[in-house]
This record gives sequence, structure tokens and C-alpha cells, in this order.
Amino acid sequence: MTPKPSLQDLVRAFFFRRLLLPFAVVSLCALGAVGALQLRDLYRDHAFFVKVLDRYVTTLLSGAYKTLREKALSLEESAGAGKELSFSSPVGFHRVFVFETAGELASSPVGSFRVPPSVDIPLSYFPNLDEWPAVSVPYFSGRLNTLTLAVMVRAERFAALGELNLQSLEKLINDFSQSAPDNIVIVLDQYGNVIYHPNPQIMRCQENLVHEPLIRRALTYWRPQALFDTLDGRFVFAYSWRVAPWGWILLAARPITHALVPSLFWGVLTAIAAFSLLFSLLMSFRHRLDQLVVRPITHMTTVLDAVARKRKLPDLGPLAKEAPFSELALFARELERTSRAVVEREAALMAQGRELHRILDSIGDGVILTDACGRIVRMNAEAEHLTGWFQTQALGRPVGQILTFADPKTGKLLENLIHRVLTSGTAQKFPRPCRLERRGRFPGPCDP
Amino acid sequence: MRFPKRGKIRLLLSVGAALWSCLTVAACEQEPIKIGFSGTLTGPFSDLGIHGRNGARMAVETINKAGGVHGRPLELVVEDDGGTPEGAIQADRHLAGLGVVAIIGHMTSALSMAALPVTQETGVPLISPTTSTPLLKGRKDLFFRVQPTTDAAARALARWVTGKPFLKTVCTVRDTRNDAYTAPWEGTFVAEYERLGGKLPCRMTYGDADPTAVQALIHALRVERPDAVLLVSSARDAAYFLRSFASEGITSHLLSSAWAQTEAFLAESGRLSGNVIFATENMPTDSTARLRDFSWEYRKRFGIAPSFAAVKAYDAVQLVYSALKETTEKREELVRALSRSRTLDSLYGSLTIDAYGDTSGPYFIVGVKEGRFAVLEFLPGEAS
Repeated sequence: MTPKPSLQDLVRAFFFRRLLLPFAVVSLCALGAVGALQLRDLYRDHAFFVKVLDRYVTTLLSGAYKTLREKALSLEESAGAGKELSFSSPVGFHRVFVFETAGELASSPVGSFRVPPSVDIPLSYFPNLDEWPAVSVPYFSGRLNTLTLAVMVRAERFAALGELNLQSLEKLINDFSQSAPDNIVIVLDQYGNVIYHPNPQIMRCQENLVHEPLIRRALTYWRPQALFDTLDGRFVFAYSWRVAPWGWILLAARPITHALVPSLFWGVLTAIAAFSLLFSLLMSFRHRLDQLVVRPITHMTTVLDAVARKRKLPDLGPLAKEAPFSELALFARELERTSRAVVEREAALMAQGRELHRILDSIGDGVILTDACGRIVRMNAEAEHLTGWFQTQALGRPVGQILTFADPKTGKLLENLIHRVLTSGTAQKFPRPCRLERRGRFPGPCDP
Repeated sequence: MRFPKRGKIRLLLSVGAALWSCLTVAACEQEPIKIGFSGTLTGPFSDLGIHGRNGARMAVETINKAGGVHGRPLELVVEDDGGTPEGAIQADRHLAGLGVVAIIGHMTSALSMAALPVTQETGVPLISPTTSTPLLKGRKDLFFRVQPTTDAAARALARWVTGKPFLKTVCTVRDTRNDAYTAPWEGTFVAEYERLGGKLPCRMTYGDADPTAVQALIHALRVERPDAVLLVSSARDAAYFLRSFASEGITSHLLSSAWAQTEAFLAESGRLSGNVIFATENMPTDSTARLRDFSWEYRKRFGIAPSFAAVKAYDAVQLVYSALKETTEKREELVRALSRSRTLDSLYGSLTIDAYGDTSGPYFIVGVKEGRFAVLEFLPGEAS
């Protein structure tokens, strides 16, 4: 028989199954939900900012393109053919040059592009001057001490070339970053070259970030996309947007550690606190259970043990009085009453047994009692006299060893009458005549 | 439900531990081998450093795409040396502290020489893509390079100039900020030119290409009226001098070295770039099919054409890769592997690298045609 679990084990298993486990599952689900909500809010924030940024960049570049085109066309339409003009700081630009180019602009390679010596903007930084819009890769201008890009617009005979002033773009991003310092905003060109990065050193180094998994993925999408990948060795949640037709990539990101950890930290902390509370509740319950139920029951078993071992009964009165609940008090009182009744009844029975024993000893017939196996359990004085066995010697012996009958004429032993009684279960009469074989004495008649 | 038995918990813990071990081992197997890049990424010489960094990054990506070194990817850790000796020392120390097995850099001879003591101290080999000073030639140290030394190019230019009837006199101008490169280059040219009977009416230096220095140079050139001026300077300085000379009416032919042979020179000198001739170890990047393929990939990756620095940095990483394949990633073994003579199948063709880490290859006279560098003449190479 397998041992039954204790009450404590049952209670612990119950708590674990019905309380702690469901609580853990619910806590995990709640934490997941909190994380998802955080990401949704982050996604909305990033999407909103990136849309604002997209509009700003589109306006900036469209305005720049329009400015350059107007300048090129105005010079072309004026009588200033052959002149070169430079503007030190037109709106949106650091510098603008308008100059006359050689013919066949469309097919001329960069190297043969006739640029006056005064124009020191590097044309080699244009990936393709034959494509529209012609925007260079970002480069750090030592003269301007800032990162910039060149934009070129061609008219019929004149071309306008300007270096973009990105200060307003940087200011817009900085304002956003200040409102949410954990956000990382990166602006890249279509090749992954950095146009804006929170780390100025990366801008100064004209870094290309395609080696970063997040940037590599962002460059593959033409539509707005939520991304989850590594940037600078950290997992980030990002939102990317491509500015058409310029091909710039706008990326707003936040490290997962910053996006989720604060709320998850408090969530986990709350869960741990609640879990600890539940656990302490469980421990307290177990302690009270032990105090109120287990110990009294253990104590009451000592009463039953005393009854069984015929020892003095412990007093259950105090337990009944101090029992914390009525059922236990009632049970203790009843147990005490029942135990005392059993003890008294047993004493009465014992007295009655002693009386019967005296009666048995005083009668004139021999009486022998055996158990079902035929072993002697009691015999009176007359039986001792008849068999020649003392009770103390005969107890436990097979009755056939004490009582043997023989034919008085032949002296031959008769059939074992006792065996027949034991196997048939019915009363048998002694055969006549017969003689009882006595121990150490002359044999006596069967029925004296 | 019964409360989980201890046996079950032990089993779960064992499975968890085994899974964690597997993941840890797998992660360890994928741990990248770090290679440092230390170059000038900011300041007046940054064009070399930026192209060098880009070329090194392309090489690392190519190697990783092909499976890495014995299954382990390479990781490029980039540091800016700021163009100063102190910056170079600091950058190399930092890279060594990060556990790189080798450093690709520096991009100028002066900085490579400044960083050499740190290289010896840390035990991290330095593989320079573009350092060509002969001052580091024939040394048994931790310095290796894929750029042939410049003295042979300077001698070849001197011989080439001597044969030209329109180049009777030559003045030299060199940048003292990169003395390790410019002094031997100019000195070798002068020695060879004078040996061949040439005349040098003036030898000038400058420390900063400001208007005052340029005016002083222009004044001297107006007095001496040389047939040619040898500019041993960076691309930006060369372009600046070129524009200044043009605006001041100086009509001398201009000669220069590989240092100025970059896109930045083309960009900043415009159509005047056709007036300069370079004596160089580097072919233009569209001279061969392999270089054109590289150039195409580079343009796709970065949006601009590569300079020789990008090609050389690509080759430098390939040199480290070939040595890493022969050994483990331990620095000592890598140094031993790098010290073995080898022939590197570089983008510029076959390069011979001797046991001292010095490289030899052909030389070229390069001009600018239609806005692009073009080989005008092949010069016979010399054994280094």
C-alpha cells in the first residue's frame, strides 16, 4: 500500500496547483501584455516622429532643388552667360555655385564635367550625376567643419551646385531626442552613409552603417517598416522610413533594454512581491494548519494509543477547552468520553472473566478449552487432575497430546476424537468403554 | 496533480544545464575574431583613412560571406587615430586592449612609425595598407605592409624626368607633417635626379597649407621658374597648391606621389587635375577586370569610387586572412605566419612580401584623363 500524502503535502500541492501556478501564468501573460503595449506606444511615437521628419526632409530637399533650379535658370535667362556666381549662405545651403557647363551634359562623365576652379565641392562624391535627383553622399567638410551633402541641378547651359545646410534638420532631431533621450534617430543615404547620427564622431568619420544588421535590413525596405534587430551590439526596436525620391532612410529606434526593461522591471517586481505575499500566506496557513489541526489530531491519537495499550488515558479536557474551533472541541470531548467508556467496559469484562474463571475451576467436571487449531488455552483443576497435566504445562500444547483415549480391554489407542471435533465442528460423544491415558498415573475412565 | 518530485526537478535541471551548455558552446564557436583598423578618419588626411576603413570592411564582409576563418567570422573594430602620433598610440593601445589579433593601419608613414613602439609592446602585429616609407624597410619587427616602399618609385620618377627634354629643372615641395613619408620620398628623388645630372634650384617644405605658406612658395617658384614642381603632399594640399599656382600664373609641370592620388584630389582640383603626373605604386581602380569588379562593388556599397587606399586596405585584410588560415587566432602564431615570405594575389596583381613584411611590385606613371586616373607608363620594378 502506497503511503498517503500528509495533510501538509496535500495543502501545498493544492496551493501550488490552484494558486501559484495560475498566478505565475497570469503574471507572465500580464508582463507580455505590458511589453506589447509598450512596443505599440513606441511604434506610434516613432511613426509619428518619422512622418514629421519625412515631411521636413522632403520639404528641405524639394526646396533646395527648387532654389538651385531657379538660380540656374535665372542666370541662364539673364545676360550673364559666361559668368560664375556664388552665394555664401542662401536659405538651406552653406554655399551655392552657379556656373556654365560644357555642352552635352547628359552624357558627359563626372571627370569631363566642366567645373570652374573656384568650385571646390567634390563632384566625385556624387554616385551618379546623370540620375535625378543628383545628390552626393554625405561628406565632412573641413572648411565648413560640418557634415554636408551636395545637390546639383542642371539647366540648359548652366548648373547650380549647393552644399546643404543640415543644421535645422539636426535641431529638429535634437529637440525630439531631448524629449525622449533613449531614442536613437539616424538618417542615412541610400547606401547607408550617415547623414545624421547622435554620435558626432560617427558623422565626422563619414561612417557607413551597412555592417549593422538593423541598417542592412532597413535598406532592403521601400515601405515603412517596424524592425527588431541589433544596432551597435544592442537589440533595438526601430521604425524605418524611406524618403522618396531621395532615397534617404529615416530610422527612429530605441534599445529594448530602454524600451521594455523599466516597465518589465516594475512588472516583475510587482509579480515577485505578490508571489512572495502568496508564499508567505501559504507558509502562514501551513503553520496555522499545523497548530490548529495536525497537532491536536496527533495528540488525540495518543488517547487511542493509551486505550490500546491499557495505559492511563491522557487528559483531553484542556484540549477540548482550548480547541480553537467548536468541531475540534466536540471531537475531543467525544473522544475522551468514548475512550473512558471503552476503558470502563473493558474493566467490567475483565472482572466478569475472572468470575467465570473461578466458576470454571470450582465445578466437578474436567473442562479443557482449545483454539481452532486444537491448542490448549485453558483448563480447570478437575481437568488437571484427570489428565495429570498442570495448566501451566499444558497451555499451548496440542490437545491430542494431553487427551489420549484407549480401549480398556485391548489397551489400543482409540481414534483421535479431538481431531474429529476440530475438523467437523460438531459435538462428539466419547465411545464406551474407553480409558483416558493420564500422565504419570493410572489411567482413568472416560466419563467419571 | 501531484507536487513535482525531486527526481523530476533534477531531470529538468539537467536538461536545462545541458541545453545551456550547448548554447554556450555554440556561441563560443561563433565568437568572431577581432581585427582592428586604425586610421585617420577625421582631419586633412582623412580621405585615406575613410577609404581604407571602407576597403577593410568590404574585405571582412567578403571573407565572412565565404565562411570566415575556420568557421569563425571576422569582426572589424575601427578606431580613429586623429592624424596625430599621440592619437595613433592611443588608438592602437585601445585596440590591443579590446583583444584584436592584428591592426590594419596606419594610413601614413609618420603615424605607422609613431605607433611601432606600441606594436612591439603589445605584441599586436600592425599591417599597413599604405605606409611606404623606406625607413621601416628590412626590419624584423611586427610591422607588415602591402604597399611597396616609395624609394623605388621616387628613383623611377627621377629617371623618367631626366629623360624629358621639357623638364630641365625641378623644385620640390614636401609636407613636414608626414616626414616619415615625404622626407625619404623627396630625398631619394633628389639623390637619383642629381646623380643623373639634373638640377634642383630649390627644395621647399611646409607645415600647413595656409595662404602665407602658399605665397612664400609661389614667390620662390616665380624666382626660380622651374620646369616642374614635385609636390610630396596629401591630396587636399596638392589640390590646393594646384589651384593656387593656377590662379597665380605658375605654369610649371606638377609631379606628385601616390599620397595625393585619391578621389579627393580629383574632386578638389577639378579640371586642373589633368596637369599633374603621379609616380605611384598604385594603378587606377579601373585598370584591370578585378579592380573594375571591386570598384563596382565598392560603388554599390558606399556610393563613391574607391581610392587606392581602399584597395590596399582590402589587400591588407586579405593578407591577415591568409595568415590566419595557416594558424590559430593566437597573436604569436599569427606573427610567425605573417613573417613567412609569401606571394599575395592582390587586387593590383601579384605582390611579393618578404620575411621582413616588406612588399615589392611594379610602379606606374599615372595622369588624369577625362576626370579619371589613367596609367601613362609602366616603370620597371625593383627588388625591395
